[in-house]
Amino acid sequence: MQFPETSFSSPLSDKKNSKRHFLQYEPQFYVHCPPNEAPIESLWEIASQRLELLQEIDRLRSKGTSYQELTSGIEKFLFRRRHQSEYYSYENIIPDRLSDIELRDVFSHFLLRLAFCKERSGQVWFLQNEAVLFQWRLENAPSSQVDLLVEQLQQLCSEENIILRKIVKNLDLEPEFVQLYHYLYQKLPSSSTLLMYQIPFEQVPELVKHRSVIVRSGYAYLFSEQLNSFLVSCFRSFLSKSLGVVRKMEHLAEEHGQLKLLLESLRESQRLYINHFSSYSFEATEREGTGIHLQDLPQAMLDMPLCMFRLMKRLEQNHHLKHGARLQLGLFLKGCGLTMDESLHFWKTEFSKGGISSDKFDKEYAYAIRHHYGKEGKRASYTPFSCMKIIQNRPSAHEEHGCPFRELNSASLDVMLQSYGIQDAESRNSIVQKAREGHFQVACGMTLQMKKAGRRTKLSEETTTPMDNAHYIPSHPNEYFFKSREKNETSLKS
Amino acid sequence: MWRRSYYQDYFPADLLVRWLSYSFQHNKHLFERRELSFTLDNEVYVRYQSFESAEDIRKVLIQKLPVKIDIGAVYNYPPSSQSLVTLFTPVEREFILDIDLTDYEEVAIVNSEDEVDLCDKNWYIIAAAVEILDNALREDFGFRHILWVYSGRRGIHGWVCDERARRLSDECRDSIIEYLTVRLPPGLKEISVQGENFNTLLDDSMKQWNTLGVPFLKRSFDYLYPLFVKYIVQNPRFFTDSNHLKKYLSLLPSNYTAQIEYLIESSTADIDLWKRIEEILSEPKKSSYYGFIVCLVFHYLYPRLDANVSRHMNHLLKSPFCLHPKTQRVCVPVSVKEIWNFQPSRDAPQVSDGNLHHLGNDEKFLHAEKIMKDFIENFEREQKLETINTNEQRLLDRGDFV
Repeated sequence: MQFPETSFSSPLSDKKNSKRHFLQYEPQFYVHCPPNEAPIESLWEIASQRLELLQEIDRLRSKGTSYQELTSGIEKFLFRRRHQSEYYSYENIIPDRLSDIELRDVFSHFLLRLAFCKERSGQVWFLQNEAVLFQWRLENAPSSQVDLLVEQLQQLCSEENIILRKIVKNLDLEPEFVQLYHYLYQKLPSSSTLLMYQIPFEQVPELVKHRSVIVRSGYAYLFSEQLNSFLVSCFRSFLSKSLGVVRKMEHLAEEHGQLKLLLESLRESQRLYINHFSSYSFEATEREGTGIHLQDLPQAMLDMPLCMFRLMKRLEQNHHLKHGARLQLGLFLKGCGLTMDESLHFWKTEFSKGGISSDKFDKEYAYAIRHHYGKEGKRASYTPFSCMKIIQNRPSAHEEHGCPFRELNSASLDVMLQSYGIQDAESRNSIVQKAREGHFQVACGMTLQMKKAGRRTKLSEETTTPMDNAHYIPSHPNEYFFKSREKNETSLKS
Repeated sequence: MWRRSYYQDYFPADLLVRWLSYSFQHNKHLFERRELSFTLDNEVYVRYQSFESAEDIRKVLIQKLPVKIDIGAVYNYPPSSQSLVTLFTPVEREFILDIDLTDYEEVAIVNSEDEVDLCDKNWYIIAAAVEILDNALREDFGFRHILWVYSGRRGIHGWVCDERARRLSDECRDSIIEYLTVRLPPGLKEISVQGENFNTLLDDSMKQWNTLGVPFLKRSFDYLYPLFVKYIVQNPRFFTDSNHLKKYLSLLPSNYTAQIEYLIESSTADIDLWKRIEEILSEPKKSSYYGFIVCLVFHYLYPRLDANVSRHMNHLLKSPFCLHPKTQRVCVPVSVKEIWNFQPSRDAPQVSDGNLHHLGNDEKFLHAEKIMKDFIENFEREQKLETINTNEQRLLDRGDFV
């Protein structure tokens, strides 16, 4: 089955080049994978292209970019891609190249599904970024395509006995619908009748939770403006379910030698991406001689990111930290340049103030510290945790590790920021606000910026130059630390 | 020992079994997989008990004499065989609500050293909460079988028993609880009694409450406002006591505070005073502080739910007809129609050595049993009707209906 690619029109296809990239194809739920055959070279090509796009989306998302920036990021990426493929196209080399745009889209999706179903973290990563891709396509899709999706959804729903109904409400009889519409969109509905989607409330927990829908007799009524986010959440839940199913059958794909090779290579390039992106190589800074030593610690404390500052404070007060916190702080200090002997000395001194004898320390705690430095156990040298890892590693009730921007409530975060040296209440408030919105790393970057701003105005009142790291978003505590120190030195010199 | 004879002669184990079977055909397959949990004298929890019949329960109750009986979820296997199966997981559970007057201490307008007394006098808080929640669960979420049970001390439990409610995922439970939860500006709760001017951030968050854009909130406010006037404003302490209105005035800009404080000092504490305060706050029209009043009404009367109880399927909740371990009061079901007349100290039978032999003739106890029985029968009747209807529909669909 071959479609002429030009027959598809969408606001996305730019006029000069009517050839649309397969990653710009109309949104769909990927319910079936057609049993067509395809040359393995094409599969390599499309799968790795899709993966690259998802990685680009992930990069953009982790910077806390707005949806507009995300959109233009995706468009830029695809634009570059299209130009490249004009030069490097396999089209001339491989005669039976998979040229059907829909098949390319579907196949590349299913290949990645296979590659990512194995591990929980991979599933989550794939799910989140695919959902963004779906949303972006959905927002650019013509309304006929959206109707098609709704129809498809109705069929899928009726298999599970869920009723999705299109209904028309007469607003003159329903003042509550007008009221909510006005509240959500700051305007009145354009006509006195409104098309709405009726669905059991269990299907839209997010909307119910925020009271953004009218709920009546067990049904939620969605405005057509809310349809997209509902379709995205359907997409997520279908994909999440099917990832679980695929996982159980993944071994079948592995039996196919060439396919196995492809899947492994996809996983490998994902591993490279994750490592490059989230782990900070601290050895480099050590070589440059910017590392710190035991005597620098008290002074260096204010350069530590809040997650470490908090633990240092806690250690000062209680002379003890729980395991998770010791690991988080211990590896960080190692990354800052503390040698193993210095670390041992540091922990031992602090713990002894809390009444832990040197004997007990050697027996119970020293092993773990030597372990961090790769001198015990499997002798692997452990790398300091990245922000991602710290954010995801959530503490239980009485533990103190984790990302303070995520774990602390507004009031305690505010107090913590104050003791960190941010005196301006308004700055603190805006940081807390960002953290509440879930942008933990952005909030952390702002903290660094505002701490600097405060210090700088104290040093020299006249300098009001905007910070060059205004949009700095940390991805690793050690990176934050060196960035903070670097800034200190330059500002002291000037 | 009165606890033994309460379990032996009065505890309606048969009603409990019939209720939790949810079957007009008295099929017990649901009940057999239900977790019951006992708390023994020495604070020992015995979890994952399951039973086959009322006699079964009674036998163990008499043997163990628990001070508290809790009801948990229905699991995929009978909980008593929990240790024998590999995948043991909750499959259904009523959607439950828990409200306790302890959470309202700073707004309870009648203070009293006596805890029991406190509960009686501030029962209007519970009654208003029950009406609001019962209404929302029925009108908005479409539930029909909601059982309210006095918690034995100073609160109430709600059990939403519809099949649809029992099947809710944890995520949906959370979404309903969030829908029903109102988050007010944090300053209202954190404010100190000394009343130093809090901070200016609060002004803005309070102004958002000038208009209630969300229909559910508007509806709740319209319901609560008359009650607020009746129970809070009409109580002179509201104006005079430094723990009430005066405390919250510090949240307003100082010119308003001064104006209102002067007004309070110079007039009698009555409804007219309130009307004038409202007028002050409604001016100027464009940026009025009426949101302050909206916040106060919600702060004093809107249900404060213990959300963690409702969020997870496997949370335990005290069984109806259990004796409260501290007060020895029977946790009696209360009908919504009677919620405003319910008086815990008068209407919940208290069990002790002396009165136990009266319990059989105790009107209050018999009435509670009747409420429970009516609730169960209502459920079974509707279930029966539904079954008949679907069967008929199936016959019609098949076309061989003569």
